[in-house]
Amino acid sequence: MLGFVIQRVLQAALVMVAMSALVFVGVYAVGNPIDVLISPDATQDIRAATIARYGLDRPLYEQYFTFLGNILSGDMGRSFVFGMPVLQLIMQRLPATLELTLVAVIAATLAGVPLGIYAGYRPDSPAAKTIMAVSILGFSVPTFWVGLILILFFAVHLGWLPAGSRGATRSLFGVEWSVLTLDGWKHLILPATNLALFKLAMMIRLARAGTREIMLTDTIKFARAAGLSEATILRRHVLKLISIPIVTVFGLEFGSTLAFAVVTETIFSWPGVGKLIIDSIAQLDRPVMVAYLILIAFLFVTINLAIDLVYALLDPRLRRGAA
Amino acid sequence: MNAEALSAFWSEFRESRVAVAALAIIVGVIIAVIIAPLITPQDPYDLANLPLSDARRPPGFVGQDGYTHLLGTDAQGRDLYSAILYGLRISLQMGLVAGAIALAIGATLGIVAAHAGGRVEALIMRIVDLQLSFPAILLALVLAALLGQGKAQLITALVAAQYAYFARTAFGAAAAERRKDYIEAAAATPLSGARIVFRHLLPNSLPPLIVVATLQVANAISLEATLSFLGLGLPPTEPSLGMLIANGFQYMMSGRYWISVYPGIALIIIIVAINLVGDQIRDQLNPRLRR
Amino acid sequence: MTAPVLEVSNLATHFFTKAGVVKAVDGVSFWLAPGEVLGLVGESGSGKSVTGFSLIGLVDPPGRIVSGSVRLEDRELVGLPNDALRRVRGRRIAMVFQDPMMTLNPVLTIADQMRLAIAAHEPVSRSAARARSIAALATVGLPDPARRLDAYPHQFSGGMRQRVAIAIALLHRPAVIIADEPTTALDVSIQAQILAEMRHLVSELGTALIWISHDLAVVSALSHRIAVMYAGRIVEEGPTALVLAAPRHPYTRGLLDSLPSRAEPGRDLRQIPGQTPSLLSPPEGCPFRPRCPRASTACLVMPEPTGDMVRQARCHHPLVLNPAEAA
Repeated sequence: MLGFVIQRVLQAALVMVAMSALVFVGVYAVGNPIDVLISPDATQDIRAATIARYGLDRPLYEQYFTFLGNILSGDMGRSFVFGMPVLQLIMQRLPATLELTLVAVIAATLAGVPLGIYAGYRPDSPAAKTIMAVSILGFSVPTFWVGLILILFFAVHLGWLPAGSRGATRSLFGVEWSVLTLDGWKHLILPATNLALFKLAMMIRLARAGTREIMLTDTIKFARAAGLSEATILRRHVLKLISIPIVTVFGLEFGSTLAFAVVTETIFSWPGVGKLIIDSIAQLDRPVMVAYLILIAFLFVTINLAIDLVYALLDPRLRRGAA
Repeated sequence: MNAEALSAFWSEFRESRVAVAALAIIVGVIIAVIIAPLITPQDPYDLANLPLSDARRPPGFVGQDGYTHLLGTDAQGRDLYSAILYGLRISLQMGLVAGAIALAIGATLGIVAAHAGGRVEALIMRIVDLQLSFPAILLALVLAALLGQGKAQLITALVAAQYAYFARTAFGAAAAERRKDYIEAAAATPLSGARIVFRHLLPNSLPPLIVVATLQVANAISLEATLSFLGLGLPPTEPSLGMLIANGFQYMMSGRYWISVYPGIALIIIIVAINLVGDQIRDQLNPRLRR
Repeated sequence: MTAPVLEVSNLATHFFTKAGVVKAVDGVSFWLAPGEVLGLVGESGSGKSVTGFSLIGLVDPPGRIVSGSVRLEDRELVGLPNDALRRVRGRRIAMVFQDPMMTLNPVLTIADQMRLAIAAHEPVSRSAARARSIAALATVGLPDPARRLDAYPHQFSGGMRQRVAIAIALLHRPAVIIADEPTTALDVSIQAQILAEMRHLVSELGTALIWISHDLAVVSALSHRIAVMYAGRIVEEGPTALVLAAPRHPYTRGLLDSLPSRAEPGRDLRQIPGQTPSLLSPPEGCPFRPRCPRASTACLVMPEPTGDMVRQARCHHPLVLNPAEAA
């Protein structure tokens, strides 16, 4: 098992290096790094200083190592727009995105999996058909439109919930979280629902497809032949078998949801990393874009690694290593 | 895939009323957007002729030129009904073209990887896997931002975001087929590799590819709308549905909902219809659900 | 004679498909004495597996039992509500399937799966379940059962997996075990081992066994009686030795003749001409008529079983018993 873990971690590290090289190539070799890292209205002194700092006049491979070194020490440039170090900027806004994404994905899984299992267990029941119809909608409707409708209905029409921005926060471990306040939740519900809808639909469909297939296998027949009750079969056999693809999707979707938060944050004016990247694109704040890419890549690699490890925990067939 | 299998497939398809209705909608929309110039009272791209004074009118308003705006007008005075039809045309164009190109590129990569095996396979599939773990929307976002606005750029971004799904699917199907004994036997004969690829690997990858293709077209349409909504993608002179929705966003608070809602409904209808058809095809082709 | 532990009368299981009604089992009757091994033999499509599933009440839709009776220990199973049926399954009648890799859940340990099977019928503590499981594994001849208990199915060989499945079936000491082609997926050498194991278990525990197979050779080694199925009906039934030495039904004769072991070296293998009939639109009268060398116009009427308590056959022109060959 340990060998498996080490192997996976090494692979992840390799991928990170590859990703950093890709971004580097994209920024330094293809793009003009001077444009990327130096604000167009910087003075000559600052230009000279930045060129020296990032070694922009050195050969390419030297630049790459400087680039890598800078990243590892946390220096990702300064934002043109905000004037502060990008890393700091991103770290400031990350909690907002994290809590939004976490709430959304957890809610989607907790609601979606049971619904999907039921739909797969009794596929011809009217309840199952309704669930599937709703899931098709949730799957197809573009997130931004759902957000609009949610705002229209709950904020404008009914006036129950605020139409945007984050609620009051409370500090925990030195970070501000809005899930710790009631006002925070009032502001969180609409955007989280918006973000969760797509994932909910996906979880339902996944759980249903998986359940349907599993119910037709000999494993279930044998369990029934042994006299196990339907409830036990669902709980101990189906749930365990289905947990593998669900967990995989949960992890992958977490990363994807993080990315999709871009849209939700824009609509709901949620001060997270997603809104940051959109604004940066609009304002051509390139250091932020570069840093965002690197961080997202890092996040994805980490998530994939975590999934691989959890996968091995759940599926005993994989523990012998070798992939 | 001979005529007999196709007709059997079709008669099973026909049994699902929902899927047939969805297919009818898709066909209807395609016909409507092709003959759009004939059935719309206004050309929404003709900026010069847009009566600004008719802007932001509710549905049913009778405009300057004497025709009824069935769905109201937007902030530039465009008849929403016309704008939606033209917007649907763009959505379908983008979705189908991007889907077709992504299919071609992805399927080629996947089948080549499966047929070549060894290092080539490992290299290609590693890249594909890497990309698959990256969310399509981010990729499309960044590319669209880097490449700028325009149809070609948008298609490039969409293709780059989607080819990996096709590659993965094609590879899976072709690799499973390649492992079968008869392929190994064929490889031992002087039959050329091209023959094996075209006669065996490719036809067996087609069914899952078709399923992925339908779903990816819907995905592309949704992605394009999202990008347009965020301000990337197409220029404002050729409003796609996403842009119409974005433009109407600010008016929602003041009760002029139709500018955003109706294009949204049109978008949903086409995406849902494509997904329904794709679902039905997938269920029919899934061997594990056959009794 | 002791009361039969299982009595099946005129069992009929039909599948209601879009293409029509498939009469997979159409009038099957037999009985099973305690501790007796019955070999249910037939080609694919004969209805033997469906018979097995019907007995334990696990027929998948679109199929269902349409008529007939299955009496287990004098209790009628057909028509029993699901709840009551579940209590009988695993406890009084159990089933073993063909491929143990598919029947054992790959993500649960053997210990878990056995405990679930025990707990399905009676409350049991973890330690008690463990003890019983170890004992069951030892009974089926699994080496080092205590350690094996915490392993996963993929860590066993095919033969050992099947032994585990058999152990699970035996947990509650059922009166009847239905084994559906249990050795078909295993190597020939392992087959022999499992057969020997089953013979030993049956005689030691007194469990009645229905061994479903297409392989006459395997069945003949183990069963006391054989029932040959064709197109959803039993066409011949009797003590194994008698049926094999002097079959009454032409189909049984054909099956025996086509066995490679009975062939003469250098000559073509004998085959039964024609194909098994479609169960959607079976031929008129006796289903074997189109392929039977002894068929006549009389065979346009479905033959009823003729014979005595010991042997029966559904044939208008049964092969006559040669007194010289009678065992």
